[in-house]
Amino acid sequence: MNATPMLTVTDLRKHYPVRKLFGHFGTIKAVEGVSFALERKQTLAIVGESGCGKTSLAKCLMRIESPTAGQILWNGGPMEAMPTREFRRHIQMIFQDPYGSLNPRKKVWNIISEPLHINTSMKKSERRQAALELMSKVGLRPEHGNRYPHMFSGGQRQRIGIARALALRPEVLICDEPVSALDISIQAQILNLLLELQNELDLSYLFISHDLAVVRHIADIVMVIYLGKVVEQGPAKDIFGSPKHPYTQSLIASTPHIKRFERQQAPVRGEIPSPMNPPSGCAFHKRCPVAIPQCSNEEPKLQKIGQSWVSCHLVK
Amino acid sequence: MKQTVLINPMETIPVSSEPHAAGEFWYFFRKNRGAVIGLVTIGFFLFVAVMAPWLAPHPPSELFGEALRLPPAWQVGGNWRFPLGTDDVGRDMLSRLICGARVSMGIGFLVVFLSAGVGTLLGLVCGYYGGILDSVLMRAVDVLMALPSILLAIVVVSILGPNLFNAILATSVVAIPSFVRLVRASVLEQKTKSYVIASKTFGAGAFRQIFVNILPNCLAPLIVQGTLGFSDGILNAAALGFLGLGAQPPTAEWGTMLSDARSFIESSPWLVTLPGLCILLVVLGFNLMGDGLRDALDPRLRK
Amino acid sequence: MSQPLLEVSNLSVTFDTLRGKLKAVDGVSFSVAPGETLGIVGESGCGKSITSLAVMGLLPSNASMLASSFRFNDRDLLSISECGYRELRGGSLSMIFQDPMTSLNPCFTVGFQLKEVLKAHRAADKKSCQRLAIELLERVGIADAETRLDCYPHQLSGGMCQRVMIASAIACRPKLLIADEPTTALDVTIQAQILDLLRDLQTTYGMALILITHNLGVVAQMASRIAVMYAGQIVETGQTKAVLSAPLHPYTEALLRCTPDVDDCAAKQILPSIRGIVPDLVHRPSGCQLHPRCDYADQTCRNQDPAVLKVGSHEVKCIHPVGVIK
Repeated sequence: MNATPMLTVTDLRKHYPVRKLFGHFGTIKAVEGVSFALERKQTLAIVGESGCGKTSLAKCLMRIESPTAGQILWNGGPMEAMPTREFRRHIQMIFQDPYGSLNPRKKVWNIISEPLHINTSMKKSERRQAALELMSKVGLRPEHGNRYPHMFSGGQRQRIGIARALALRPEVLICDEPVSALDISIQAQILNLLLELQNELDLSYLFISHDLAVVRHIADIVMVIYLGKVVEQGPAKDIFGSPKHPYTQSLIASTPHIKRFERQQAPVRGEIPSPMNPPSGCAFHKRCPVAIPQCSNEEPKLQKIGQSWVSCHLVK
Repeated sequence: MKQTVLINPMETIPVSSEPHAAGEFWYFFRKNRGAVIGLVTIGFFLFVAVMAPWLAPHPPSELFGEALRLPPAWQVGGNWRFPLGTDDVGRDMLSRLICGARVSMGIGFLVVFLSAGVGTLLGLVCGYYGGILDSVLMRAVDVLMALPSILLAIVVVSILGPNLFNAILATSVVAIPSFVRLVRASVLEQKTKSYVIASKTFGAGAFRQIFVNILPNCLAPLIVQGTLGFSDGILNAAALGFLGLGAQPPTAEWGTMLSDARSFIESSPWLVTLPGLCILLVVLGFNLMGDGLRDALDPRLRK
Repeated sequence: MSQPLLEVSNLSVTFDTLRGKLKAVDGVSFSVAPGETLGIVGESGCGKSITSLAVMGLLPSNASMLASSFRFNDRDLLSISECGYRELRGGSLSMIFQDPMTSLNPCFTVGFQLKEVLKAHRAADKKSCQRLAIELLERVGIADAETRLDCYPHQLSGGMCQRVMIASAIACRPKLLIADEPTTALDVTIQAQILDLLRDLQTTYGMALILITHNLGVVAQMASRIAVMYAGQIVETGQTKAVLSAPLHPYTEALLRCTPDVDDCAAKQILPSIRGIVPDLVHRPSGCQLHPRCDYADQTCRNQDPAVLKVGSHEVKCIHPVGVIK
């Protein structure tokens, strides 16, 4: 067990400026104070619904966008100091859409070895060889390398995407809803592949998903986000075994279970608020089944309860 | 108890045996009869253009003083030595039409090459970078599009001097805006796709993104516009030729032939109808083929 | 036994494609009683959406349909004219689709589209259309209904758009509502609300519901009966609780096993999955469609198309059903 976590994020914030009517500038606070630490061979799941900021978070971590505030440390040292060239060798990303994430005009081996083409001086034959090795790791046959993406199914394309992300031998993979667009049986295959690769290559995952059932099977630590803020964070077994925040409880209760046949009442009413117009106090108070007057006035702070962090006035 | 378990997926993943992309394209193209007719017509004229020096029975500029304004061979007074008749200074129509094919097709290719080349480059840059550059360039393109193309061509030629090369230049300039808009729209669409973002995370620079990643995915509308651009180019050059601003005598070019024969519409109609018919057939052929190409290349339009 | 509301017997739908004839639906039979919820479950390409389009008479032009019997509300759908179908659609037979944002026309307000349906089927005048439209929006749980009528679809969230779709679908109190993956594109908490709404409407109007989904959990809480589809065929059908707790078909069993569940305590373990991928529907495998992926398969499965075995109301199309029957 490593003493220093590989990736430490402290109070990360991402705001987008927005022009409202008549030139008045507002801000969308997409990510508001997210902190976590990721260790080797660990999976941190980021769970939330639309508008919670998980995609903005991923973009900040991948350096596609720069955070407005906050600190990102890699093995204890500041990440901004690291040149992008080096950064790419540590963190890579798998995308949600298996149909849009591969260039339709390129052959599969070319797609997989593209990171090598850009970042190393390997010869074409070496790159091709590397691509073939990566393909076998994800369960594709060598002859698949010469075909084009449209000849593959969604699950197979996702495998190609995973092989490509592994080309530079990163230590951390950000998985942005990698199985949401796939069928159940294919979903299981891809999740298994991710678990096997984690074991074999000592990978750490930042697994972004809205599907709690999938998260249950892959996560060590779970972070639940609502409107850019962390509402609950802790070991998976605690989050699922005894969820403390009303939003976490509602999410688990709203997720359909295959073993529960009784009619379940929807636990949460109302629409998900827009990040342009966040409610006062606790962002969840308008939809919370157990809200008290304090919730609409005062924003709760994250408190440590056992091994988890919870931000709720009703949890002490 | 047996369960369906995970077996090494390497052995069991079949890849769909879809037909090759070219085969699929040809299937849809073939279904459109107009497109095939267009293709055949263009093929014919291309052949004529390439083989012109060997096909033409006489040199196109040779004057036959004894055979002025002879009608086509099947009419009264015609002569099979000059199958399609002769013009007012005694040049063989068939030879002039054949050599004119070379000039006109050549014009079409050059115009498309120039306008597509410049237009694509501008479109790629505007679409990829956006911002001020995009705004300024697109406004310039808008201005260009707002001017009637033939007038603009006339202005350009008047400034540079009336000859075939300048006519080609003028026609190309006039054709650039459609390519710019087309390519820019394609780039904007592709830019949002995950594979472009993925390439960015691997460190792909602008050059690689534009030319290696995005451009190949913009080819379909580009090819269609290119074929339609041929017909525009030929028509515009013919118009310039008709106005005396394009190919100068004695160069055989269909538009100039039309112009020279203006005064003989009633007395020697073949002098006007034959070049006009050639222009019509080539333009129609390109349009039909372009339609078919578009339907075959865009999966959404396939019947 | 009361007369079923919808009765489909031996339905087949074949598409004429570039690569040959594609049989998307192969001999499917099912029925829906008045007020009942039938869940049709399967993965992509299994034919569940095509089946629903066939029931609605909305198959594309390159599709040909065959059935031994196809009756809705005592009308024979095989011999009905397009005019007759149009009367049914939106009237006693309604459908809602997966992506609510694209199911509504972005150029017109929500109110305009809702009133279109009312004018077409209830022949009401302007004032009563307005009143009915407001009532409908309130019925589906949209607050501030009068203002919402003037909103455009892009101004509403996904959940709201789906509510509007449901409102237009139930405008004429249909006897049967087909919901094709109605909550797949929605967030989990909103999904729960929409499912609640559908249940609520069913009890109020005595409406039958065909719920098409790939999510077994959704079907578990919503449907009284379930039909599992694979490669265009119904492989198992019966009471939901019976099928999901004690499945008879290897595919249903495998599907249940590889579905991750929130309650499952065995976290971070390899999920049992089904090897291989769905068959190519143009070049179908011989005999049982599942045999290349099934561990129980033997020579008979390769050669023979399985017959349908009945155990009470539980039916399974398999030569070696899981468990008891032999």
